[in-house]
Amino acid sequence: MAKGYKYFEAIEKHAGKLAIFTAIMVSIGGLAEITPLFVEAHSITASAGVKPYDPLRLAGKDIYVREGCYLCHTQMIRSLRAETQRYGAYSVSSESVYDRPHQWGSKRTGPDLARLGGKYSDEWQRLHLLDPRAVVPQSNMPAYPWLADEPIDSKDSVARVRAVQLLGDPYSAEKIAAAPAALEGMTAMDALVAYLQGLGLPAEVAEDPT
Amino acid sequence: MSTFWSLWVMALVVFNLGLTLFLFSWARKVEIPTLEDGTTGHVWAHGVLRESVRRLPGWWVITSAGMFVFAFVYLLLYPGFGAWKGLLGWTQHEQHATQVALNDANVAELNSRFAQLSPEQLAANPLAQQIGERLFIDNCAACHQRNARGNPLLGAPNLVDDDWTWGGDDASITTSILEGRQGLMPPLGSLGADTVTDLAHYVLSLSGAPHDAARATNGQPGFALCSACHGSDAKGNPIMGAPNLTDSTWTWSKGDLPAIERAITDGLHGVMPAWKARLNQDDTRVIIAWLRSQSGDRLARR
Repeated sequence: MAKGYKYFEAIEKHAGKLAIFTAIMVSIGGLAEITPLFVEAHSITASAGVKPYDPLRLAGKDIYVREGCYLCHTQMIRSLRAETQRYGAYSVSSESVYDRPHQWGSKRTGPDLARLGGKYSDEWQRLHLLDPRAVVPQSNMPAYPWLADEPIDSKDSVARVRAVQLLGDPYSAEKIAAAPAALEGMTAMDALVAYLQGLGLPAEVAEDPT
Repeated sequence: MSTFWSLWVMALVVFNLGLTLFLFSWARKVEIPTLEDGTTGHVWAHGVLRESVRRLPGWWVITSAGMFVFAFVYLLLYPGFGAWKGLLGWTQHEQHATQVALNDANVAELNSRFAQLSPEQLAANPLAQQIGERLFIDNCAACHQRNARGNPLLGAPNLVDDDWTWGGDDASITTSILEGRQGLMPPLGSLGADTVTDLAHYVLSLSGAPHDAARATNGQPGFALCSACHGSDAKGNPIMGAPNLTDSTWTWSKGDLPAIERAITDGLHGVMPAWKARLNQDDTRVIIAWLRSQSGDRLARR
């Protein structure tokens, strides 16, 4: 036993070997915790009522990402009583299958938005995005007035639908053919409000299959 | 979790814990060769600092050993070792369900006590006021403001005056909250700008606000159209949410001429969303109680 020093010496006195063995040991946690979930994520199917985003809402989702809403708002209700009491049923993975990328977020400066849909009227959402303080005087959310003047590029939006279709989201040919008409005359504001109003399923939430 | 990934995790856990435990117990016994002066021969700073060999401190050894014990006990009791569910059978969803049940029981107990109270007693109960205000801030304040004074931008009415567009008895307010309301004033711009202005002056005259008497007289016959909803006496109709035009309460504006012209020309569409997915009858009861407590003059008049 006492002679084991040479093994320690062999590793500790060679920077290359030490680095490789350190990397192996450090990566074990990730291999155990991340790899199985990463691989199995592809087998998760949409829970009842979760449908691919229609073209307008998809455009709205991309604006949500572009404006960095996820930096202050989560879309992840954790299974804690205080959270489910305030925001509704906790989030499950099968609700996020069409979110590319998911908008779970990790920082709540504003409230969670996972089940925002239908909580307020469309008009409230519009006014709130134009000037949050017009409806909530205590709010510290920035205003997004430019959204109302920004038309949606329907060609670009249809290309985005085709892109997520390529990734495997079920869109029928008719749905895609109807997209340009549905996007006609719409602004970024309309798209974002449509996206926000579609968030979450307050009524029924399926049990997580995993 | 599939069998493969369960075994994958188990293998990694066994490898990691096994190897670190082996190193922990073996390395302490390994003898480090030393020179005659008791140092290892490693020097720094041109020999000013020399590395010597000391036993590991007891607190460090005990803490490290304790961490191994914690890891084994944890993996035995809680999920973590592949598909092993743990002896306690703990899941976060069950923990959540337990906490919700506990809270529901507390709330139910509270509500059964509140049920004994009359609406007036409830409005005077400090605990009910506190809960009602909390629920109001979370659910209602986004449109009606924290002080419940409303927001004319949205046509969200003031809830602490004595004026109720959709009926002010408890049952009507409960329906408004749980089922929502949609107030629709159709656009009448097709009447022509002149007629609209006449009508607006007539509407102003109904509540005794400053107006052009001649134009109001011109506008009066046209009000027949409006009376379908607002009533021939213009006192409104709570069934349709058509407001009383003869009082000084205005929901969508301060009741100025341009705002009334705009309302007639473009119409109005007020939306109160349905809250039954988020609130129940017990919740609405304390919310209404809080509103009553905020509406001092209303209580005084009762």
